Amino acid sequence: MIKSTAKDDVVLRNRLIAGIVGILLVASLDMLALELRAQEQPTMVTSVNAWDSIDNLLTHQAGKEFDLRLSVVGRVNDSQLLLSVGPDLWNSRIYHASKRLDENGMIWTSHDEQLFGTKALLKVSYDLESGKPLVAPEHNVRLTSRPNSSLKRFGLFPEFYFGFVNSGYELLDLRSEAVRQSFKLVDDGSDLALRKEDIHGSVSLEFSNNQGVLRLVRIVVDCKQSTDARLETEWAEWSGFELDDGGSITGFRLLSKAKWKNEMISEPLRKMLDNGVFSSELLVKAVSVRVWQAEDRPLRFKNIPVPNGFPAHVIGEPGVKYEYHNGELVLVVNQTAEELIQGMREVAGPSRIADGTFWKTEIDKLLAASSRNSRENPDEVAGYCGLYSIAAAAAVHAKSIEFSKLLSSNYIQSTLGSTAKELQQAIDDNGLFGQLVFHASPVYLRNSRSPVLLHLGGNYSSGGPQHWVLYLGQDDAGNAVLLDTPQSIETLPFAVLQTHWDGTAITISDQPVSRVAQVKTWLTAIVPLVVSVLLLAGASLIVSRVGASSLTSAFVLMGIIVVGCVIWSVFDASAYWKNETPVALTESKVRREVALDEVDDVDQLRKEGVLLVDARAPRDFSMGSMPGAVNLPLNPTLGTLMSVVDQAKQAKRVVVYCQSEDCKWSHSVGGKLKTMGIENVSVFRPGWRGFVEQMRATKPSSEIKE
Amino acid sequence: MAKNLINSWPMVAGRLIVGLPLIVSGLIHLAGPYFFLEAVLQYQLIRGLPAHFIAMLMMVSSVVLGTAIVFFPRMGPVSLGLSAVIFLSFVVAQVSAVVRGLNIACGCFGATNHQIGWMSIGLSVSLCTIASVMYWKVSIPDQLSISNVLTEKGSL
Repeated sequence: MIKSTAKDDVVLRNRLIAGIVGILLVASLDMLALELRAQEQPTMVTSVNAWDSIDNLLTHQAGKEFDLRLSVVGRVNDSQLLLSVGPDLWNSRIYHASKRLDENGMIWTSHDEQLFGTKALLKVSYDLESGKPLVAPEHNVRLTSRPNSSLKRFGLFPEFYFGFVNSGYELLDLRSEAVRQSFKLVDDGSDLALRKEDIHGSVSLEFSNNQGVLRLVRIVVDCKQSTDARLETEWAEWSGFELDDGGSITGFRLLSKAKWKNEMISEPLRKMLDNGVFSSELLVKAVSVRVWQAEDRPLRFKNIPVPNGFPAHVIGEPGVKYEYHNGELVLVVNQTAEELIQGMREVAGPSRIADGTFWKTEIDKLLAASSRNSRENPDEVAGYCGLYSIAAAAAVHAKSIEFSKLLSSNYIQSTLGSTAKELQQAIDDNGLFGQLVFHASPVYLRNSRSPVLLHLGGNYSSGGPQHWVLYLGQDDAGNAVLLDTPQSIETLPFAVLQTHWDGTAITISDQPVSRVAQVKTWLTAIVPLVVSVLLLAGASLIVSRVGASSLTSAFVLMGIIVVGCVIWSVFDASAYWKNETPVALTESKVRREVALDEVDDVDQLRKEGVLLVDARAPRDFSMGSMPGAVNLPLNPTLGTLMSVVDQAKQAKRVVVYCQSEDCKWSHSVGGKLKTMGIENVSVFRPGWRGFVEQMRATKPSSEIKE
Repeated sequence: MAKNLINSWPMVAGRLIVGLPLIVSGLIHLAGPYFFLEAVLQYQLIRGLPAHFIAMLMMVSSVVLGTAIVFFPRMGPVSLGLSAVIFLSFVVAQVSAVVRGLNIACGCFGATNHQIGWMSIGLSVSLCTIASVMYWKVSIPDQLSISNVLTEKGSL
């Protein structure tokens, strides 16, 4: 047996000193690793950010084919727009054609290289009268246009302009406030009737003049505008046009003027329109019919002059508005973002972020403020999630960040959105202070007194969404409160958050992060190391006093590992055995191929206890769905997913469907539910389209008319 | 001899090379246990409760063994041996994944995009080799040799 000696004690002391040095080494190495990781953020194939790079872009790509896409991103001055050229920030689809600006606002070129994720900035002037973009003199780029492209006056109502701004056609309402106020709702469509099962064909848009009454009929049904069908049917984009109570336009999409009238209304639907066969049931979900009338001058407002300087209302892009100056349209970014910031400022104070009671009363208000920034399809603005979150965090600190300043290529350079470095730069450049931390844990969040930007990502092979959310504190139940821009505020258990949060965090504070806070951050990160050191120190002391063989040391070491496992299981809230749902969620990310039963008969969907899950995109779901169905798209927010899982657990059977028989999303979503512990999951193979057809087959038109 | 050897400068360097990655990796995994569980599941070797157990064991043992190797030389020889076993299991798992054509993250240092490949396998092989050689140098035949074990038990 080996006895302990004074020499051993000296050696032990020296080793403890070495241990402290080692901890510092570990910290340094971790910092180095984190710094290296910071360099790993998403990269672009090609990056063109400088103002003068557009020349290089075109010159160097000569002889190759690529597309340039025009998007409005800001205002240069009263007569110039700041445009981004290249695939827009959320869409990298490539189109091929000659070099021109077509009806859809696409700039076609003769090159043939695809430029995914490229964004160049370009100054372009618009001549509103001619509807043409002018040549940008600073750059050797000529944007040609055809008469129907760019901005043009809306045929029936010249105060409305439409043109390709941002990612699609949008309607610009240039009427004066007085004109808008002269409208009143005279018919909400409740006297119309349309039976859902009678609808098939395309989406319709109808304008008509009914004895001085402007009738705007927006019919939004499934049909050919579904996501899968959209790929194969060019003209089948949905159209819609609504006015709110003030006469302002609240929704508009138009794909093609040429096909706008008759072609976009299927014959059966046209017959129903002609015959006035509508049902109020369908009106609730799938159809919005409004009839408006200008009080004293029906259809005469086309000649009302548009004064300079009044705001134009534009639908589609959050945070922008347009102003009309001297025949030119000027984009002003920030309108909606200001509303967001103002709304958030009203409910949040700088010191209340960690106050759980705060959320009890104010969450709805905050949600309402943030939802004003929502686009029709929230997925489309995923690239802006980080920037929105910064604006929201600024509001929490009672600071206002001009959103237009955030729409800069310095802060977002990829279709994937902003990187951590870019966001930190945006924070630092706008009067706030960002502290970037990797591999943070919930302990770090709980200790934070400021909003924290969290990166939701995934392992290399999981293919999860790359997304930023804003952590705002925790509620009374100890759940994380997240602002998932531009969609909603969600409260989630921290363990659920951990299944998607990769540990990347940017604390956004209104004052510099103190050294004490930084040290505290490090201390929270090395708690397991400290525990390990203490356990091993105790064991080492005993071994040195008593003496032991290597075999005994091995058992002692393994015993410490077991004790460590027990400590983690008992004291760490993230321990697997305590969190059934997050574990199931994690497993569902890995297991993709799951065999599911398939059903074809719509009658099986009507049984009691069946939960219908619609796997289509939210936009498609909002246009019409099976009765009682809940929406769970492929990449839902965590809150949506957990909500549907909770409902599915209560159901006897879960039936998932998507658009059509060819659509595979229902299998993906169904598989996810099944791997999360939902047993009886089936797929309704015919999908939404099949459902509509089956309903039509069982309801003859004679019966429908009754 | 072994005690002096393990505190020699080459051995100290080797202990840092082997121990620090274990510590860093373990801390990262403990901060994000579900990403590590996902990484374990991605290998498609185990699932369910065994996967949960292995994931927990790997996270904790990484920190404990790394700490023992770096800071507690008395535990060093044994911890080096166990570390070599862990690294060997990494190697086997990664080679298995590559052979099966899995295109997955190695799961070495949290939620990163480090794809498994010959680089990550090479790293694991290197660490395994270093740990094995150090263990062999320090422990055999002085510490864990059959004769020594039998001697301590009084058989010889």
